Amino acid sequence: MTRASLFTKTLVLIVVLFGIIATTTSILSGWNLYRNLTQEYQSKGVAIAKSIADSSVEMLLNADVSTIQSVVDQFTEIEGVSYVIVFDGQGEAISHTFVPTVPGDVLELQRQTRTQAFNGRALTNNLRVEGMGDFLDIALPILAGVAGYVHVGMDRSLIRSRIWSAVAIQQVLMFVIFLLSALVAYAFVKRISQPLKQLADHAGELATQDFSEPAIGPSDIAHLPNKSRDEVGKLAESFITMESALRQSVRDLKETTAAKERIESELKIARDIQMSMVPKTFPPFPNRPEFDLFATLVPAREVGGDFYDFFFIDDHHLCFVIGDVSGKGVPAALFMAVTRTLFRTTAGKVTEPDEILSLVNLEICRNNDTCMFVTVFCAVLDIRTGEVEYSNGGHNLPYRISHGETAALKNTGGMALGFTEDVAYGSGKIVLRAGDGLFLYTDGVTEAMDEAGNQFSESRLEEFLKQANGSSATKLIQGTVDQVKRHAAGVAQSDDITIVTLKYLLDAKATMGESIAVELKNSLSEIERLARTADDFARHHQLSAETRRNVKLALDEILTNIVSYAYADADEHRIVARFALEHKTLTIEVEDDGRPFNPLEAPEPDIAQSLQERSIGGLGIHLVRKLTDELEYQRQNGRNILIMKLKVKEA
Amino acid sequence: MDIHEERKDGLLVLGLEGRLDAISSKMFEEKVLGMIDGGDTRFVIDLSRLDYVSSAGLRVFLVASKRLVPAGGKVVLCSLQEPVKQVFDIVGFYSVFSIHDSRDEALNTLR
Repeated sequence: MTRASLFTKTLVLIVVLFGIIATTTSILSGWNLYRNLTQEYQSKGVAIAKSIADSSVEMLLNADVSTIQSVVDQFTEIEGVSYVIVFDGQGEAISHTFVPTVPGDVLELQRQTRTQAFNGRALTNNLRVEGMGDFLDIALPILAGVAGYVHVGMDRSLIRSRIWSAVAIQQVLMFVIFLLSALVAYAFVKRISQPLKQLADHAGELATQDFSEPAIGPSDIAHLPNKSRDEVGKLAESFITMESALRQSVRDLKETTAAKERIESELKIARDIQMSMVPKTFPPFPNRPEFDLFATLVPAREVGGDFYDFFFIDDHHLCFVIGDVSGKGVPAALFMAVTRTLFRTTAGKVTEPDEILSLVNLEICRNNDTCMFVTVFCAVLDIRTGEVEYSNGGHNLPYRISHGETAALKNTGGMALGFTEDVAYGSGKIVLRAGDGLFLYTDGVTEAMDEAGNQFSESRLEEFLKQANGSSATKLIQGTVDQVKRHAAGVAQSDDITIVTLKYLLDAKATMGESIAVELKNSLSEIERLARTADDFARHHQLSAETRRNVKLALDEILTNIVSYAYADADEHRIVARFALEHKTLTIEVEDDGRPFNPLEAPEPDIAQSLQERSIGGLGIHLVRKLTDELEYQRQNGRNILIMKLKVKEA
Repeated sequence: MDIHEERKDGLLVLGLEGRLDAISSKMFEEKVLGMIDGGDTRFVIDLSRLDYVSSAGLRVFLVASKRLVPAGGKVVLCSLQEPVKQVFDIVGFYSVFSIHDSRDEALNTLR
């Protein structure tokens, strides 16, 4: 493409140049030739006229017409001579070469000629004769016009044709030269544009090349700088330099990127380990209305090794832990994972927080080649009573938030885990009342710095906690994180921010408005599960052993009845039992989709009858009646609903 | 529920341990009725280790006793725990069964 347009441009230039040259030279040489030829014709004509005039004086005087005619005829043989005519002194044409007669124009010219002064020179006129052509008429007086006049007519068309043929030859020559020039130009342009095209192609290829790999073989433009030592060569040289510089810089970029990626991926691994180790589903125990638990871990860019965990040791004891591993990055994350796992396994074996810490410490010390350590606060909550037993291993002491009062828990003595096996961990105990909260955190909260290096500090945290009194566990954490972020005001977080909040919602002695429900299948094996649920609910509300017993027996009788008699088919059915405690009355509803059966209509057995008289059945319903204070039956939407009420006795 | 079986001077002593509910009473019923069919007529049922009884269990005591009447046999119960006692009380079993505080007492009534 480059070559084509370059050549076309050159060709146009050549054509225009040649056009101008050809035209000007043609005009110049044509005009020159015309002048020369006319002059030559004129002098030739004059010479002929002179010769006739000289030789015909005698003949004219003697009126020897025939001799004159022969002389005249003889001159017509000469090239360019069209006519010759001789007039006598009176102006009569006595001899001429016109056939058959002398044209009027010639006679008219002769008449004018007679009046002209010659001064010994010939008179030249341009003459046009209709039907014969253009002539150069040369008139010469014979013997000063006394003997007569001679006119010689030279053919001007001959001049024109000679000019044309001369110009034509010149044009042909010019054309040949033009063709040669075009050929030369083509070769020349090709010579210049070939390297340019190579460069262009090479540049096009560059775009598709992988610069991260070394070049395959020598560059296909490597020879150009040596081959053409002109601007094109220079351009090629620049190209080669640019390409190698490009490769080098891409290689450098790739190396730095790889190094950066390695660091990033290590950071990511550490974060992934850490985040996969902490529970993140909230609320964590939706079936436990006794407390509200929320936790967050905002990892720093470089993981700090914070963790938290919470799990039930048994049905009533919730263990919760917060910790901070020394060091950062992958080692901290791994150490944290190990510690968290140790807590999970240890808390199954022993249930006292101080024992848990001692055992975990022992395990960590046993295999702690890296000399890392971890600060831990561990606590166990009895969800029935709100009692919290705790033990601290060198960690920031949590706050207890109780009716607007915020106070750190008392320390129990004992250092971070991992230093030495020989540590005694003490234990402390508090009792949470409904609405009381516990706020556990790591130093990422209090040591978060603003631009001037001021830490968020315990005092700021305590201030905030006082203000946030009464907030839910979730709001407390969100509020704290917001406060810390506001304090940092954009300064990069240097350590993990971890917070666990627990809010105890149940005051067994005052709160009696809760309810639970359990769904059962129509199988006798479900009796045990129902009994357990009833027992949990009753214990939770600290009902007396007698009440618990009565409730369980009544439910046993009802469920046995439903399972044994309510269904005609063998399909699986759902039975729902709901427990509610309000105003010291325990209400239990049992709902089934069996055949309608109102136990209140069943005949009461006569317990005064003798063995012989007594019927076998009816004891179950009788028991239920006797064990409950109120019994109500409803049939709703094809379902039996039996409602039992018991006045509760507290333990 | 576990049943501890003991024979003493032609008497059958059955010690019940655990819970006598709708599930375990079936097994208990089969066992006792099998023994009656096998010719045993005098039973002492020791409830000292029975924690729980529901109407299904009570029913077995009734069925067994009724079955033994024509043969002149008898079921005597002893050593009831407090919760079981309460249930027996509610259903009026004290007026139907011979119930004693100790095993020896129970054995004596049948000798």
